[in-house]
Amino acid sequence: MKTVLHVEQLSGGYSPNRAIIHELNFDIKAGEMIGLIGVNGAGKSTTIKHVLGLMTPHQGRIEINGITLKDNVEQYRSGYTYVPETPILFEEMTVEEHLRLTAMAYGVPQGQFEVQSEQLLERFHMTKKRKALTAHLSKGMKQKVMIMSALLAKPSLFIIDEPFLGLDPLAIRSLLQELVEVKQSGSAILMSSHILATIEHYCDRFIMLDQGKIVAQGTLQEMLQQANERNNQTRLAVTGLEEAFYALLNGGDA
Amino acid sequence: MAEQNEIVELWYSRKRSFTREIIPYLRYMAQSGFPAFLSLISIVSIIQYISLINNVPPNLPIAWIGAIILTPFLSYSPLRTYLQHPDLIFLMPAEHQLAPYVKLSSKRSFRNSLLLLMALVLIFWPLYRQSEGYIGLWLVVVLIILKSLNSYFAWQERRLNWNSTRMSLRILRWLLMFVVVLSWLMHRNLIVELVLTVAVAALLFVIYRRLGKFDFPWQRLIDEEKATLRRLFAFFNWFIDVKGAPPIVKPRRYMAWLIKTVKYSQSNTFSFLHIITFVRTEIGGICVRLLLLGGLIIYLFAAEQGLNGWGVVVSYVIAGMLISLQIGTLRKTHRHAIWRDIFPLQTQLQHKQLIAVERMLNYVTLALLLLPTIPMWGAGGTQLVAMLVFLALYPIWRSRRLAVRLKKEDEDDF
Repeated sequence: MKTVLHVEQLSGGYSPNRAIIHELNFDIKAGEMIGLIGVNGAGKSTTIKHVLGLMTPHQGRIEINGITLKDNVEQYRSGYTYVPETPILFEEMTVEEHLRLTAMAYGVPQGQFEVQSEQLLERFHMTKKRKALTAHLSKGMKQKVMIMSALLAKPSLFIIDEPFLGLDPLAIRSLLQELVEVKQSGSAILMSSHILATIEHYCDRFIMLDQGKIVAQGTLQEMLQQANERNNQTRLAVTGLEEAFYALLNGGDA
Repeated sequence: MAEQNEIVELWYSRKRSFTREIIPYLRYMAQSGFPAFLSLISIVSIIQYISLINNVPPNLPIAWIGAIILTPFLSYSPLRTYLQHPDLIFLMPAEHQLAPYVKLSSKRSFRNSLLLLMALVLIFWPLYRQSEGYIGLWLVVVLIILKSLNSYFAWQERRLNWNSTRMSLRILRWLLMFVVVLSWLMHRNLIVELVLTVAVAALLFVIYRRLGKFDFPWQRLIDEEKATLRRLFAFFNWFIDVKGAPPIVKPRRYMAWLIKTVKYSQSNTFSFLHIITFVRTEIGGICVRLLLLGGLIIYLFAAEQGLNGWGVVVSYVIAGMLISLQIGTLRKTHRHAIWRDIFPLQTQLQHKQLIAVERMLNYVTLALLLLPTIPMWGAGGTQLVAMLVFLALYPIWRSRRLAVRLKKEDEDDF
C-alpha cells in the first residue's frame, strides 16, 4: 500500500523553545482510517496543525504523497482536505456556494461537482438548506457543510478534527458511511476524536498521544494487548478501546 | 441606594471605556483626510443650497421635501445601552434595579438624536420659511413632541415579543409620522393637524398596549448594541484594520447577478469569494447607499449646472473616491482566513484576483455614477471629458496602490 502521510521525528510547538509534541513517528497508508486519540492538551490539534502546514516544526519531516511543504506548497496542499473542530465558514456564502468554492479551489471538474454536491446535500439532509446563508445555520449544520466540502475535494488524505461535535445521530451515521466509502476508494483518513466507542468500530489503527508523545499505536487488537500488558496488576481483561485508553493513559490504573 | 449608585457608575464606566476604545480610531480617521472630504462635500452642497434658497422654483414641493428629509430623523430612535452578552448572567439578576441605567441610556440617546433633528431643521429652515405652510417656531415645538413620542414608541417596540410584529409596527409608525409631519408642513387647518397628531399617538399607544411584551428586552438590546458597534467598526475599518468581528451578512438578492458573472474554474476561486463578500457583507450595502446618495447629489448639480458644471465633476470625483475607499476594505475581510493557507492555491493568485475584483467594482460604480450626469452632457464637454479621464485612470491607480499594499502586508506577515 502506498504511504499517503509520512511523519518522521516530528517535534514542534507554539514557540521555538518549548515543544508541545515530541519526536512523533507514524505513517498512514492509502485506504486506512487512523484514529488520533488522547486527552485534552495531549497534542492532537498541534500534530494536525503541523501536518496542515500551519505551524513550522522544530524538527522532523512531514510528507504527503512523498512531497514536503517546502518541495511544492500547492502540490502538498492539494493532497489533503481539512475539517476543523469548530466550523470555519465564510458566513456570507450559502451552503451551495460554499461547496462550489471548495470544489473550485481543489480543481474539481464542474460536471463532477454538480453531481456530487447534489448527492452530498441529499445524504446529509441539507437539500432544503442549500440556499441558506451559512451565518444562519446551527452549529451542527455548519459542521455538515465543512464535511461535505471536504468530501467534495476528494484528495488522498482527509484530516478531520473532532468531526462528531454538534452532529445529530443521522449526520454521524451519514458521515461514517461516507468515510468508509472514502477509505474504500483508496484515500487515507486521519481523524481525531474523543468518541472512542464509535471510532473503535471504524478505524483501522489508532495513535494515542499523551503529553505530546505517542504512548501507544496499532490496531484495536494491538491496543488492547498493550493495555492488557500494562493492566496486569488488576487482572481485569481490557475489551474495548475506551478501557484500553484509560489503562494506557494511567499506566495500569483502569 | 448604594446598589443604585453602583448601577449608575456601571453605566458611566462603560461609556468611558467605549470612548477610550474609539478615540484612537477617530484619530486614524482624522489623519486619513476623510474630514477634508466631508468638508468639501459640505461646502459644495452649501453653495448649491444657497443658490436654491435664493431662487426657489415656484412649484417646489417644500412640504414633501421636508417630510421626506425630517421623517427618518424623527422616527429613527437608536438606543445605546452598552449591554453585553455576559450581562445575561451577571446583570440579569439585578434587572429590577436597572431603571436608572436605562434612564441614562434613554436620556443620552434622546438628546443626541434630538440635536441631530434640530440641526437638520436649522438647515431646512431657510427653505421652509418660503413655504405656504410656514408656522414659525410652532413647528419646532411639534417636532420635539413628536420626537419624544417616537422615542417612547421605539422603546415599546423593543419590548415586543416577536420580531416580525416589531418590524411591521416600525414601518407603520414611520408611515404615520410621515403623514403627520407632512400635514404640519402643509398647514391647511390647525384643528385637523392637531386631531391627526393626537389620533396617531392614541392609535399607536393602544396598539402597543395590547401586544405582548418583555419586561426588559435583554436579547434585543444586546443585539442592537452589537449591530451598532459592528457598523461603527465597519466604518473605522475604512481607515485602519479593526479588531475582528463577524460581518453582518444579508442576502441582497438584487445584487446576486454579480456573483453569477464569475465562471466556474479553479483560477476564479478567489474572485468568487471576494464578489460574494462584496455583495453580502456591509461593504456592498454601504457602497449601494453611497451610490444612491452620490448619484442624487450629482444629479442635483447636473440638473442645475451648478458651479458652471464643475460642481458635477467635484461631486462625481468625491463620490467615486468614497465608494472606492469602501471597496478597498475587501482586502481586509479574508486577510487572516485559515483557508488561504489550506486551499491548494498560490497567495499571488488571491492577490491577483482581489486586485481584478476591486478594479472591476471601481469601474462599474464609476460608470453607474456617470448616469446622473446625463442632464449636463450637452452643455459641459470639458467637464464630461474630465470625468471620463477620472473613470479610466482612477481604478488603475487604485489597483497599483492595492498591489503595493498587499505585497507589504505579505512581507509583514512573513
